[in-house]
Amino acid sequence: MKRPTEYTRPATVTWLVVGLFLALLPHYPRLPLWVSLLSACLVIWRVGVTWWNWPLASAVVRIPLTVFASVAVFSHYGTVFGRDAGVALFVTMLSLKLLESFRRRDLLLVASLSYFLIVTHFYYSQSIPVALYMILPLTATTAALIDMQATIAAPPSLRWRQGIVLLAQAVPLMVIMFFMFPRLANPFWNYGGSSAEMRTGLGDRMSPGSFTDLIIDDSTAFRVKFQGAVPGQKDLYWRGRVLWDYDGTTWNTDWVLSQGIPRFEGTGELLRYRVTLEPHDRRVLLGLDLPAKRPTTGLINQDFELFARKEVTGVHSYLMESYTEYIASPTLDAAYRRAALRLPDDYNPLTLAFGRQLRRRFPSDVDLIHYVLTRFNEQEFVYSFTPPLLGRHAVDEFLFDTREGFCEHYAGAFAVLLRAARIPARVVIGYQGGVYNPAGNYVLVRHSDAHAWTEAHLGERGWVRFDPTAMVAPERIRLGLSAALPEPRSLFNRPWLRPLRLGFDAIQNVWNEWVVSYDSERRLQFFNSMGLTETSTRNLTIGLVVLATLSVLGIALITLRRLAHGSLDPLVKLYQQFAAKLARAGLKARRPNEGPIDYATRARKRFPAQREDIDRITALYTGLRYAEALPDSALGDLRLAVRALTVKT
Amino acid sequence: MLHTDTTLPTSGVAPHTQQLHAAMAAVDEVVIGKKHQVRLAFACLLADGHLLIEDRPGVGKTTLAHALARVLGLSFRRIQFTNDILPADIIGVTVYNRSNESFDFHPGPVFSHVLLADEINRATPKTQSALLEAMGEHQVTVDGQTRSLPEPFFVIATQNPIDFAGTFPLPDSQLDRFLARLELGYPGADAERELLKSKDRQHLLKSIEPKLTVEQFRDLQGAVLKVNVSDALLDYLQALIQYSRDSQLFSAGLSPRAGLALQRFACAWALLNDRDHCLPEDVQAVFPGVAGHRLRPIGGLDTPKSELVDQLLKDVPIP
Repeated sequence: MKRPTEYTRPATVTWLVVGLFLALLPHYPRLPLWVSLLSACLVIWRVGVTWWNWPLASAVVRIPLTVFASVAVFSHYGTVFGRDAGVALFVTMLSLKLLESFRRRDLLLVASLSYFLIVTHFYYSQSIPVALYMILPLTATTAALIDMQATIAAPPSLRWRQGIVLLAQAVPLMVIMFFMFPRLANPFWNYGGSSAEMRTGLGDRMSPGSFTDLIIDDSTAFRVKFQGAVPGQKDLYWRGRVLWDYDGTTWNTDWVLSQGIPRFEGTGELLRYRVTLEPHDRRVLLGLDLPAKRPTTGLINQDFELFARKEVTGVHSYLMESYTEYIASPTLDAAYRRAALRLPDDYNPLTLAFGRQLRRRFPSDVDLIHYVLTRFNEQEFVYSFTPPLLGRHAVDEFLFDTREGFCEHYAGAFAVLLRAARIPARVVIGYQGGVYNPAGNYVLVRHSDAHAWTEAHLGERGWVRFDPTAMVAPERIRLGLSAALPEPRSLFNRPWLRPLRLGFDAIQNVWNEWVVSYDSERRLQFFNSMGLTETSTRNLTIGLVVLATLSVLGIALITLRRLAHGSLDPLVKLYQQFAAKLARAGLKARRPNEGPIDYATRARKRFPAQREDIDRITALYTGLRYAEALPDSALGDLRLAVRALTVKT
Repeated sequence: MLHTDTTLPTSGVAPHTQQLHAAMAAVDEVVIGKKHQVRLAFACLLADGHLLIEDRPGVGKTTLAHALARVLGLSFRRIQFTNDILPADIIGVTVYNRSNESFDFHPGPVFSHVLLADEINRATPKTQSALLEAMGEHQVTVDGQTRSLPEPFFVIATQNPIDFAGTFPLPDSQLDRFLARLELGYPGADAERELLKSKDRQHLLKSIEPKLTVEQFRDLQGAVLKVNVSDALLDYLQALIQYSRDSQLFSAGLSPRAGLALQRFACAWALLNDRDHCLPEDVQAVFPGVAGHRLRPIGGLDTPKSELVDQLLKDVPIP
């Protein structure tokens, strides 16, 4: 096969490959091994072709490779669409494209595709480290483009610098475009695709041990920024799901029961806050008990559960309002009452009997509940993350035997006991507490703050929250989870690291709030805060396009003028027009060091018929520019003379 | 680039134009086929600068110097420099006069309008430096007494660039005092023919009548100072000077004195061409004369100096 001429310097190819490889690298661990290996080999092959004269990949190699890669990706994922399959296909095809890119046009294409490859990383993570890392391939690819355009070679350090400078110059425009430009309702990474890793998060059921994963997970669940003062720790109950259904081992949600319009009466102060939720691949949103409206991006139901319109796969931010003092659902329909009392007959006989016994002893619901809670407090109940395993009659064993467990045990057992005593009860799961971060003025809630509590319906008082865990381990509620546990759980959870951790988290919060979850709603809010209230998307688009066009035109004009002899002198411009006219008529262009008289002499020889015109223009020009003896009106004469000049060849 | 015969309309403001042209024509008759060099020499003198003529023996260096002196009606002295010549041989000596019992100063050849210093690089540095004061200050100091030289005062020096045996090359400081350096070169075939056919040069020289009085010449020198130098032209001058300093071609750029010389020389050239303003072409015409002996190519460059100077002119665009 004939070796194609490389239309570019080897250095250009190196830059391009470095940029592409840096962009490919973070994808490799995520992709199937064979995709990563194939891609790396192809990139190395291309380097070998340029630098070590390796043989070229002929079409005989390339076409079967392309077919094989496409088929392999399809058979691996069962599709070529979606995030993972799409990226895998893109990576293999781009690596193959690189192998056949020798012409400038192809290399330019590879550079543009490299930029796109950089973007694909944000489908997987939108964290600050990823964004910082992407500056590397971005700069290298930009340097490759610069090198492609440059006529002479330059040392790598210079290209780096040029790349960085070029990108830095683009930053203001990028910032303006990012914050101002109309955007889709959701950032592109919230597209709801398949996810390779399972994220921990609040489920829609509760059984003994189901919280264990959550409680050892130190990662952030969500952050909350209050518009006013932050409520006390004991009020920070973040409502997640409401569990109605108990089958003897597991508490489940009841989708049908939850439907309906929430009925409530807020009695305390209305709290306004913004929740920035980390992706958890579920629809449920968190709200401070008791949510008083639907979240700006979703829905609310009768049980005050909040939902996004689709799975939260990217950082998701919404505004909420809540009352911490309230009366929720003051009347309870018969169907709901039945559901809130339903218990499986053949489980936990001791508890059922105990409940009936309590009912007889306390005619008042409040007295009964008070008695049970006091019992939790006074008897030997232990708060522990390593409770003994429970058998078939889990609640019986827990209440009367082991007496060791954490929130899910207490909340579940309490609800069962209340139901046995004919008090409508249900379990609520969510989060409790959080750490106030003064650096960013927000409350940080981790997955380890996951919590379960019980709600009992007390007639006119509606659903009332009872937290039996608070009776057993009050410090769990007062001080947070770490206080209730004897040992720090991880290396990074040391007290002296706390300020540092909070500082980093504050940065992460700003990033999440202003970059990752910046959507059309946030944009409107941002505009309102700047006093731009009545901005329709259309007007804004027109404004931005006009602004961008004008600035680009302005920059182009300045650059062109600078190029044209760095002078704005109308006199010089007229003379250049004169020279341009002559050049169009066939006179060899004026040399940069050619004086006006030398030029005129040459022009006169070439166009003897225009001799007088040429002399006149030259005399006016030299008179104005060098003799400085002519009146200003001579400039007008010169303009007329230049315009009137018609060169006959 | 080099135009002496511009036919463009000019304002013709210079005084004594006819006499000046007659003077140039008279020199042209003696120094045949060297119109451009003759005009450069005239411009150099009009710019009140000293002239260094560098060329082989026998191409008419002395004749040109002599003719210039005669046609301008100036007194002319010639010193043939040798390695045993002493400063006193140039400046003059004080001799005891027995008759009136006093020391009389016997002025040396330097007391003239035009001093032709032939083969200046043959003299010792001591003697060369004796010329320095005279060239720079237009005065000499003998026995503690300062004596002014006649005005105008020019030194026209010649040197042989080939034969370096037993010479003392002029130091940069002294070279810088010469406004311009000229190379005459061999005459063209026609000129040579005419030269061979015509009468004895010495005889012709003696027949040259002064065409300008000293006063008229000084008027012309004054007119040079009035030639307009626009900002646009200064931009160009500065660009040239700056380029010579930044360029990789030369080890040292042009000095500020060289810049002044260039400007004045260009103005004189404009005046010779009947213009009251200086054009980039004027600068280009005189630039090799000003820069040639001042710029020092960086060691290792084989290119002849004149080509480097031309290159410099080519590289710098006219703003």
